Amino acid sequence: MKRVMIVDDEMPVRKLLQASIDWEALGLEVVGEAASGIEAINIIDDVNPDIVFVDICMPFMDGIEFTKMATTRYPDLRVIVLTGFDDFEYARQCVRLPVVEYMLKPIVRSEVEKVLKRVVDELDKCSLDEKGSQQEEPALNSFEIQKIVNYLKNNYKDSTINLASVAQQFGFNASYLSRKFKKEMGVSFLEYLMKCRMEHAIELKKSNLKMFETANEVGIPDPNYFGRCFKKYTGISYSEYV
Amino acid sequence: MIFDKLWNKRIHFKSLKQKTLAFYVILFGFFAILFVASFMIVLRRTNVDYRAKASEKAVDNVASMVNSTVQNYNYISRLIMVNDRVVSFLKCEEADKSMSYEARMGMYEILNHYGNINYIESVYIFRNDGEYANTGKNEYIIDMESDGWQYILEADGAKTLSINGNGVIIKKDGKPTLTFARAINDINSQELLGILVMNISSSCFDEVISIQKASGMCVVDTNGTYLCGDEELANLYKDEYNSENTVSKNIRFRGKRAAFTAKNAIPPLIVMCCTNTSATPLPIETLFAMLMTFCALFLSSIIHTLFVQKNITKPIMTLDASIERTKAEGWLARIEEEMPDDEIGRLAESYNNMIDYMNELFEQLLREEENIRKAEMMVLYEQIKPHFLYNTLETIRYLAIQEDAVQVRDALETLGSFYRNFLSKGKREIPFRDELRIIQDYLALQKLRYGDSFTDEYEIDEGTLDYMVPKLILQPLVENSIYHGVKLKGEHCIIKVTARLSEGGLHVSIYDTGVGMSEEQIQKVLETKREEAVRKSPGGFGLAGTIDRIRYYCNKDDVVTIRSEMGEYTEIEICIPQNTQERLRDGEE
Repeated sequence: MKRVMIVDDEMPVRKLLQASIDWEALGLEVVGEAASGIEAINIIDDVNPDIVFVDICMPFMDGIEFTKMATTRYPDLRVIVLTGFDDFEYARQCVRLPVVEYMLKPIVRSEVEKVLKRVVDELDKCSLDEKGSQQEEPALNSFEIQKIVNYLKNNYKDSTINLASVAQQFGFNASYLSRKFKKEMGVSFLEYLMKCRMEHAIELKKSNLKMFETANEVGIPDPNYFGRCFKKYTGISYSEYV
Repeated sequence: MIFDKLWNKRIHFKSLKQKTLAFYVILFGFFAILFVASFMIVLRRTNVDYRAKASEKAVDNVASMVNSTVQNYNYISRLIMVNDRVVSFLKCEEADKSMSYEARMGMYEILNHYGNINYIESVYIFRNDGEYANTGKNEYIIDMESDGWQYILEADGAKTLSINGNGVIIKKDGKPTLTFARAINDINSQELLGILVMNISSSCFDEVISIQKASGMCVVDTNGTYLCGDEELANLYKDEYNSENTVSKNIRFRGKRAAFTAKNAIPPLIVMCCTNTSATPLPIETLFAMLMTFCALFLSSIIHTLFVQKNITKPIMTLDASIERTKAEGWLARIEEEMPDDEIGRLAESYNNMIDYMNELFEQLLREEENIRKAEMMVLYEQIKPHFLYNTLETIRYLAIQEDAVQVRDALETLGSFYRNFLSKGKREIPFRDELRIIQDYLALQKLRYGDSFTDEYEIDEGTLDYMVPKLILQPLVENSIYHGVKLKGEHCIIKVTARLSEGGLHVSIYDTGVGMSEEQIQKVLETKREEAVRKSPGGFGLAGTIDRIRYYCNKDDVVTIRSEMGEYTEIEICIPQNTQERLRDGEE
């Protein structure tokens, strides 16, 4: 089963896409969705998708920016751009990106299915090619982990960092890093990053900053996603937190 | 080549006034040079004449002096000729010493009686047999074989003048001597008795020469033999000067221009003179006349300047200023200034005609553009096929009712309503009631898309509902509130629309509790022009474009106010003045 992620700022669009397509028949399953590019970058390591549907026009981080970032960090990822904007300038920018397809809303099921079939075939072919080419992993000791922890403490305000980018930065395999990190620190990489951000956010809340300002300050510039993260972390919404 | 360079480097004057000024400066310079040159020519001419006259006068003076001196010596010679003791010396058979002594005494007697013996150095009386008696010191060599004797005898008793007696008698120290000689004949028988030779010092004319105003004077004989005066000048002697008339010409003497005169004083003596003294300053009358001419030229050119200034330069400058103003103001204005009734006036008239024609063309162009725009709008409206859209929506609504999908039914109703008002049969302005409906439907549909992220509130005065407004001026403003205010805040927001009538017209305010706008953002939005807005965000006008459109419709700049506080609220207030409605209606008709 190939894994699919849907990134769109409109909830009805995400749900419609999910409901319209017979995913199982194509050998696919929808494993995650995100309401913004920022949210997608944060959760993509946990979701671990093979295919991403992405809307272009989103606030904070648009589809173009997300695609650029995602395709450099996950070379095997297939991106399908889905947008309501019938605009030449966007199409031109997409041509330069390694996206699989550029599709216009409103979605037509038959077209989406056709594209998905092709992508799945491609993915199958690739995975066959790659079998047996397992890479030798360099050893990752506590000292290295500590270095990464320090790096996170210093850089959590950067909204673009995630497991893949840090792994790339330090030259480790992402899943190996994830496992070692959890073993060493007791919490997952993402949880630790979120903890850094939320602790800072709590401090900022005490100095009476508005939510969207705090969100921007701690490296989650999308205040909607930040609000959800904050509530999840503290159990109380930002505005009610004292 | 130098001229070419200067021509290439010449100053380019941009204004007619400068050109005329430069031209007259050059003209005045030319006049001044002309004046100085003519002054110099006249001065030189006068100088030459003066010198010639001075030279002639000096020659005349000396010549008459020579003449009178010769007459005096002639008289003395006659006295000697008839002296008893001299005659008896000549007539005796054999001349002994006592006879010659007596003759000498007789001569001294006569010479002493007349004072000018200073210049008569000696007198010789020759007998036919060659014996002679003489006065003065024996400082002469006498050449008995010379041809000069023949010349004296041929005169047959008349006086002869020569230098050194044509070789008869030569002074031992080599100095030239003026020789006065004549044959002595017996009074009764007319037979030749002997010859009288009188030697006169060459310095006898020095005094008269010295008092003349001349740079050089000399006396020569017709052979050019030097007698006295300036020897250098004597070397310039030519045979042509031996003429009855006075010879005058200009020569260079000792490196200077000089007037030269030669005159035959008494044969064979010729007086030559050379003068280079300057004339007295130019006569005041000549100077005055020249100055008057110059002034007249100067005055006439000033009058000419003024004439050109008044009749040509000034009207052209007025014309140019008027055209320049048109250029600066950016619209085609006629020339309203008074113009003279000549070619320039006609030029202005032609220009005005051209401007009128162009304005007419522009208006025509604008009308055509307007017509095209209206036609295009109608085509667009037709392309959307509103009837098909509405009927399809109605059908789907019916299906929804049958399935008991209440939310779908309501959403479809809202969408249908939105499109009906949004298209408004292609009208340009609609009642405020309809515009309000558009934003209510729009916000309802947006709430479906983005969930419960905002609440919309309305505070509308009854009287505002029939007020005519340009279509779609509020929808972009609430769209802006959602995308640039509410969505960025991540919290529940309020969008409030207020409308009221006041003296100025209709006031509508869109208020939202989004993230707000910074001072720079507000400034940027208010200053962006429509063309830029279209270029920056193709596909939609955006906030800046809408504001510019409202300004264009109201024909006023201060129709939009934006108030905001970062993180708190944004309020955009627009005011549509009363008179705009009439303008719009007029435009439509």
